[in-house]
Amino acid sequence: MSTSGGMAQGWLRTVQRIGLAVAGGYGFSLAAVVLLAWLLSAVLPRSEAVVLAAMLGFLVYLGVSLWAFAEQRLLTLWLVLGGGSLAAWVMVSLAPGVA
Amino acid sequence: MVASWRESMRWQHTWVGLVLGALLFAIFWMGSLSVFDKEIDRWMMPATRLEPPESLSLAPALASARKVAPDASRWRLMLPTSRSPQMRLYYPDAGGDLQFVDLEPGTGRPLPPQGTLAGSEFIFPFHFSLHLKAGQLGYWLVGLAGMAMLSLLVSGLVVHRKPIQDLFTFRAHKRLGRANLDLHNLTGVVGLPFHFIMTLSGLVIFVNIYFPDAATLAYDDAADPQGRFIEEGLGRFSRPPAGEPGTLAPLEPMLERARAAWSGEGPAFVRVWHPGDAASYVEMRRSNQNMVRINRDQLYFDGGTGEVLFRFEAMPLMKTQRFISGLHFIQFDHWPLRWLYFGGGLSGCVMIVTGFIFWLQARRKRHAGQGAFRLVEGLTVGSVTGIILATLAFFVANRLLPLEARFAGYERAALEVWVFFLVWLGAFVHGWLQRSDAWRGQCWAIAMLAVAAVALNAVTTGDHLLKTLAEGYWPVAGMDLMLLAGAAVAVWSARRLTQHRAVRLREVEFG
Amino acid sequence: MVDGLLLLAVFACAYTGMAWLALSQERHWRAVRGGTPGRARIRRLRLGGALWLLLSLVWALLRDAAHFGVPLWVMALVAGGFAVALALTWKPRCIEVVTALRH
Repeated sequence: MSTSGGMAQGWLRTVQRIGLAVAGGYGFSLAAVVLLAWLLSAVLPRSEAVVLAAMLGFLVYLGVSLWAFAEQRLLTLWLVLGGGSLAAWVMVSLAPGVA
Repeated sequence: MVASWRESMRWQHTWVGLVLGALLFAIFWMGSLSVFDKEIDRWMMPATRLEPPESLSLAPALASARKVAPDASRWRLMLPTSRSPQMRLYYPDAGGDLQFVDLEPGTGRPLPPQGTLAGSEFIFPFHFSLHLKAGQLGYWLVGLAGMAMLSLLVSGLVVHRKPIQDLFTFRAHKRLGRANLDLHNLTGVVGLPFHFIMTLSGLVIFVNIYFPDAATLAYDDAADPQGRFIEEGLGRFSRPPAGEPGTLAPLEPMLERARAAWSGEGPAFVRVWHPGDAASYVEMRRSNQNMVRINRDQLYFDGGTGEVLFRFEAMPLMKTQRFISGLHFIQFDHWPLRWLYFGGGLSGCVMIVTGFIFWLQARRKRHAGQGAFRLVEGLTVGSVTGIILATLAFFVANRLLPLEARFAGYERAALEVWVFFLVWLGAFVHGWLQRSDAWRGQCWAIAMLAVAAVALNAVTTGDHLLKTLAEGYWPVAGMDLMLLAGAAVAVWSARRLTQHRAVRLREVEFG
Repeated sequence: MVDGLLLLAVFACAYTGMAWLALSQERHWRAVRGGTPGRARIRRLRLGGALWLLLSLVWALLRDAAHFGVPLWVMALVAGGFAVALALTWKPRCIEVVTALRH
């Protein structure tokens, strides 16, 4: 699969890819930001850890959203980006302070 | 592998650019204008065309605040700057919505309401929120467009095989398709540092809107995690009203202490919390005029005694975030950079238009009759010349509507906004009906509206170009000159489009 | 006055540096000077171009210190790049002027 025609083949695949790039990419980045903020808060004041992790999050998002268009196997995308989003969802909804 | 990587980036660049191009153009256009939001304010609010005050006195302004908003829970006084000579008082009304009134800096007297949102309340917020009030939808759409812009810049570099070899190449004399693609590459690659830094810094401004969960989780032991984050990271002091009347100590000594604390620099604003209450307090935020950083240096004083209650300065990483934000906001005094930003923003607009034209050119022969092609054709016209036309209509409406204008229950300021959106909508419809011929018509309309705006400013305010130039009153003179320059560009484009059309018609007839 | 001169120097050096870098590319050399530049000359043009850009940074830092100077320099580079591209298209004379030194 090396042509743009092949890339666009099957609207279902295209929709999946775009969804993974946008939503999956965001979920993955959010997981990375939350984890990084947690790790950094061991050595930095919490607000500093949060702001640094969140700023780096945009670069993570940029990287994975481009990768979502380059990676040919949708399954890999589902595993990494879907898995990352799931991790973010678990972390956000299981945090003790969050109702 | 390399080939397929480039192919996938080409696909991404083509389709993401197409889907979000219209939104990106609107953001770039409004962002370019926002660089001069205060100057647009002066043009659209003639009553604020004042000299900046020699010295600052807060007491008359406070007296006005007591009259204008006696029951408000807080008053925020934006102090005069070299670009905004008036004082602006913000206060929440009974429903909690923020209102503002401009005050004359020396006397504190309210200036006659100008009935307009102008640059700093319409054009600037449009740039980052699209004025979509539902939730934070506008912020998220702009954020999505921003991320898309970053990825388009990267994929564009990948698609462009020889970005370095072609760095300075602009073959304007070749056929339209070649010249157009060269211009797209030129504005994209030479402008890349500006576009990348501006897009990324624009996203960084709203870190906590786009990644709120980071703070929520980091402070999950607090009852109000977001509040705790803001307190620690951005600094905030608050205390409830006492419920008993109290008097406010004079603000001048507090101002002096603030200046002493901030190496001579004054505050950007003074905010009085719970005015008239025994537990009132005064917040001052350091001015940004002499630094890139949108600082969070704050001082809080007790309203009764004038004693310092709380002092804040952000920590290094937060300062870095505020520095990156400040690069984007350009609230500091630096005219060369202001103009360079304006030019850079417009080069981004050119990059987006030429991208659209490339998409259309590549498909015109095969798909010209198809509905999807026609949709994109109209979309391009409406989102490019259409928004420019709508902005000019906004300026013209500002000069034509009488101050007391009301219509169908809408205030004057809302009427101006309606004019903007209706003209924009009309431009889309015109684009879909007239197809590529709509460019020419809209260019002529842009030229006429721009000249009309300059003429109307002269007639309705008396500040015609000769006078403002002679007096060196640059906010208004500059705006008028830019309008005329825009009109000239529009006329030039319209004439080029007419020639181009004549050539095309001849080709059809004889070819 | 000094501020204005320094600003002019920032832009002039950025423009000159970009013009030298452009001439180090065969296509532009051929269009402006004719013939091919030759390897040694390309190296000299690149090195010289980089030095002009660096000089532009020096003026920017002198004028505005680091916090405003670096953004000013970056924007001057962008503006210089656009100016050189437009000059190559319409007024190659403007490129010759700043590269007329013997190299």
